[in-house]
Amino acid sequence: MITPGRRLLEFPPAQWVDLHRERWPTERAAFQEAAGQVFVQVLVGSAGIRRTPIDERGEIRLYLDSLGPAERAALDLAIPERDENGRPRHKTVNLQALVLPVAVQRDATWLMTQTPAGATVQLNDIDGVLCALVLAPVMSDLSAVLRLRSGAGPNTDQGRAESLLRCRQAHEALGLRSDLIDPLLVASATREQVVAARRALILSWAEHPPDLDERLLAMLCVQLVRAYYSKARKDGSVQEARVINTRTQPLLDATLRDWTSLVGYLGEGLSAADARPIEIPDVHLPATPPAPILERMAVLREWWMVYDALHSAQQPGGSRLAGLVPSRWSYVWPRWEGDLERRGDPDLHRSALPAALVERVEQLWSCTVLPRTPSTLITEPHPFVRFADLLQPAIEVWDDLAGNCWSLCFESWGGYSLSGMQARHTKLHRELERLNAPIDAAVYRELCEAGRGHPWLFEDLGMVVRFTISLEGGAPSVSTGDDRPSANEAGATFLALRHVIDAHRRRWLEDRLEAMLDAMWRADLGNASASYWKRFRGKGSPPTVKQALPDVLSAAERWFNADYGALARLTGAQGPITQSPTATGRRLPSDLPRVRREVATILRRSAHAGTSNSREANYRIDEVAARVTELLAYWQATGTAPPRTVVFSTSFRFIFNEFFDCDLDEGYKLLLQATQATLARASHQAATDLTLHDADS
Amino acid sequence: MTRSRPPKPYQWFKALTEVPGVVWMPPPDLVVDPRLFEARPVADERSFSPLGIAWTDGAGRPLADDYRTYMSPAELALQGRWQASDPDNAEYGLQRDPVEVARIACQALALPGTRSDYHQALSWLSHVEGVPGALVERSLLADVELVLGDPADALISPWSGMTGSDRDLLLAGASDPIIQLINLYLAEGFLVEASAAEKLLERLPDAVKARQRYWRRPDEVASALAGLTH
Repeated sequence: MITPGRRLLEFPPAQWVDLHRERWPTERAAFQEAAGQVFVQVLVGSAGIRRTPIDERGEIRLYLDSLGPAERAALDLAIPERDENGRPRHKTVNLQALVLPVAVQRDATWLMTQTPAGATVQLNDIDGVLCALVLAPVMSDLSAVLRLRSGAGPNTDQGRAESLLRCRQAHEALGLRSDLIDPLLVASATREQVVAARRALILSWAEHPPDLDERLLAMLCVQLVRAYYSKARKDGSVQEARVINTRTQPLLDATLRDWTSLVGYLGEGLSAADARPIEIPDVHLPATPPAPILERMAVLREWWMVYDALHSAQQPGGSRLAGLVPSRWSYVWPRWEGDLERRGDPDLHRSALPAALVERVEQLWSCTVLPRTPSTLITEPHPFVRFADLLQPAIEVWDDLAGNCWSLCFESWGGYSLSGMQARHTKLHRELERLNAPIDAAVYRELCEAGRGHPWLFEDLGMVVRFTISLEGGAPSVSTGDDRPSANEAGATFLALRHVIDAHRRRWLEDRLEAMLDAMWRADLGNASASYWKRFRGKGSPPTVKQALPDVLSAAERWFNADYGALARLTGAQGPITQSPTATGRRLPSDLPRVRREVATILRRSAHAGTSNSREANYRIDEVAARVTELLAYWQATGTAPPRTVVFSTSFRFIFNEFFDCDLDEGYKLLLQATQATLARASHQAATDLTLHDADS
Repeated sequence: MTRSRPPKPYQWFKALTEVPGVVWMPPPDLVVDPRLFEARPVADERSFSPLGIAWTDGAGRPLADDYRTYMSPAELALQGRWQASDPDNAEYGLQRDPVEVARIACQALALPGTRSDYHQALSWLSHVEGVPGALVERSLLADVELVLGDPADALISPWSGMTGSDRDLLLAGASDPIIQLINLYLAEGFLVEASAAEKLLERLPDAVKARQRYWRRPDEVASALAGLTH
C-alpha cells in the first residue's frame, strides 16, 4: 500500500495542500492558522517588519509589529537555547525577500537595493524565530527568480534550474500566479519591462487563496518529506539521525516539531533504531587515570613548571618570551621575510625546554591517522601543536596577561589597556570554571592597582603613530612617542605587574592544575564516548571506524597518541572502533623542515623570471613547499602519492597562475618532481613511490 | 609603477555641474551658503598651505582657520562626513542617516572644488546604505564621467604628497565607480544597462584598468537566464 508520504511526493505542488489537510495534526491547527495570518500580512506588506541596527557582532533583531497577543500565544515555536556564552543563537536570513512587498510600494524601480540581501538575525524571541524559520525561507523561494536575474544564487546550470523550479513550485503550492515569473526570464527586457514585471509578480502575491495557512505549512512539510524519502529504505523507514541535520532541523522545528510526528504525518513506521533505541550504557571512567594519561599529565605538569619558572624570571631588557607556547603558526605557515625579527624566536617552545621534556613531547604525541585511511598510524608532523591543545584554555589567559603587560611596558604597539583585560578573558574564564580551574578575578584588580599612576597602562596601543610638533627657539621640531614611559619607569612597572601575575599563577598551579588536568581527560573521553554512542544509537548498529572517527580521534590524539582503539576500549565502546590502528612501516625523512627548504629551492627555479626574488613570491613558494607535509603523510598511509586535491585546494590556483604560470595540476606535478628529486638525493624510500602516474590516477 | 606626476596647475570648478562631460542636477530645494559659493583660491602669503594657495571669500577673508585654508569649499563641506550624526554610531561613523548624507554630499557638489573633492562626495553618496537608488545611480554616472575625464585628478587629492606605489594603489580604484554601477544594475536585473555600463571600462586608460575581473559579467548572467527558458 502506498503511504500518504509517498503520495505527497507524487502530487503536483497545487495539490500538496489536499493531502496535507488530512495529515496535519489537529493539535497544531492554531499554530498553522496564526502562521498563515502573519504570512498574509507579509505578502501584502502590512506585517510591520522592523529591524534594529547591526550590532557589534554583525547581528540584527527582527520585530513583527503587527503581531497581536493572541497570535503570539498561538505561535508556540521553540526559542533556541542560548549558546555556551549566554548569547542568543542566530541564523542568516534573506531579509531582502522578506520585505519585497513593502519595498515595491516604496520604490518599484530600485527594489533590490533598498535592503541588504542577507542579515544575521538573533533567534531570541518569537518574531525572530518565525521570520528565520518560516517566513523568510518561503519568501526566498517566491523571489528566487529575482535573484537569478541579478546573477546571484547558484553558480551552476543545475543549481539555477533547481532554484527556478522551487520558485515555480512555491507559487503553485501557495495558489499564487506562477505565469508572472516568465517575463522576468527574458534577458533582453528593458528596465521598464523589468520593473513592470517585478511589480506585477510581487503585487500578485496579495491575491492569495483563503487556505494560505495550510498551503504554507504544506510547502514546508514537503521539503521535509523529500529529505525523508531521499534516505528512506524500500519499507519506508529510516533512522532520524540520517535525515535530521542542520538543514532539516529548522524545518522540523517550524512544522511538526519532532521525528515521531513527522513519521506519523507520512504514515510510515519508525525505523527499528528509532522504535527501540539502543540503550546507551553508563560510561564509567576509572577513578585513577590509566598509564597513557598519567604519562601525559606528568609531561603537562612539567611544562607548566618550566613556563612558570621562565616567566617568573623575566626581566626588563630580556626576552618577551614570544613563541614559548607552541602554536600552529610556528609550523604550518611559512614566514614572511623579516617576521623572524618581529615575532621573536619561533623555536623557543622547544629550545627553552629541557631536552628530556622535548623528547617526551615528541614521543607521546608522535602519531596520527588520516580520516581516509584510519587503520594506519602515521607520523604526526607537529607533535608540539598537538601537545599545545592540552594547554588550552588556561595558557591563553596566563600568556595574554604576561604578554600584554610586557607589550604595554616595552613595546610601542599591540598592547591593550589593563582595565580591558578581564572583559577580554570572560569566555576563557567560563571554560576554566567548567574544568574546575577558575582563575581568581582579583588578579585584574591587583594589576590595575599596581599600575596606578601610570596612565599609559590604561590605553589601547593599537596601530597608533604618536608624534608631537613643538616650536622651541623659533625652530619647529617633531618627536615621536614622547608619552611613552622612560626605561626605568617601564622596567619598574613591569616588575610590579609581573609580581602580581607570578603570585596568582603560582597559586593557581598549586591549587588548580591537578583538578584541571583530571577534568580535562575526563571531559575529553566523556564527550568522545557520548558522541560515539549518539551516532551508534542513530544508526542502530555499530558505526564503522571511518564513521566513528570524528567522535573519538581528537581525544585519542591528545591522550592516546591517536590510538582510538585504546580510548574506545577504556570507555566501553562496542564495534570496530575498539580495534587499534597499526603503525606504518614507512618512515618520514628525519629532517622534514630541511626537505621543505630544499623543495622550495627547486621550486624557485620553476617560478617565472622577475618574481623569484620578490618577497611575496618567496612566501608563496614556501607555502607550496609546505604542502610536502600533506604529501608525505598520505604516502606514509598508502605508499603512493595522493590525488592533487588532497594537497592543493583551488585556493592555490592563484599562486600557480601568478608565480609559476601554470594551472593547479601542472603545479602539483612541479611539487611532486621537486619532492622526488629531494628525496632521491637522500636515498629515501618515498622517492620511488611518488610517481606522477600514481598522482594522476 | 607609475612615475611621479610633474607639477600640475591647481584645477578647480565652480560646482560639479561645471565639470566638462559630467551631467548633474542638484536637488531643487538645495540651499548653499553664498559665502562658500563665491569663494576663490588665491596665492597663500602665509605659507601654511601645502599647495601655495588659500581659499578666501568674496571679501578676501580666509574661509577657514590657518591649517585648513587650502581646503576648497567642497572639501570643507565634506568635513561633515566625519562627524557622527548619532552618539551610538560615533565609533566608526557607520549607519549614517542617508538623508543627512545626501544633504552634505549634494551641498559639497554645488560648491567650488576639485575633481578629487567631487569624487569623494559622489563615492560617499553611492556607498551609504539607504540612499535612494535613483540618487545612487545619478551619483555613479556622474562619478564615472568625472573619473574618465581625468583619473589621476579625480582619485588623488591635489595636496596629497605620495610615493609612486601609493599613487598606483589609488589609481587602481579608477574602475570602482563603473564596477559599482554594473553591480547596481545587475542587482536590479537591469541587464541591458549593466552590459552598457561594462563597456565604459574600455574607456579607462590601460594603466588604471582593473588587473583582475572581480565583477559578475552581465552577458554571462543573460546567457544563464536564457539557458533557463530552453
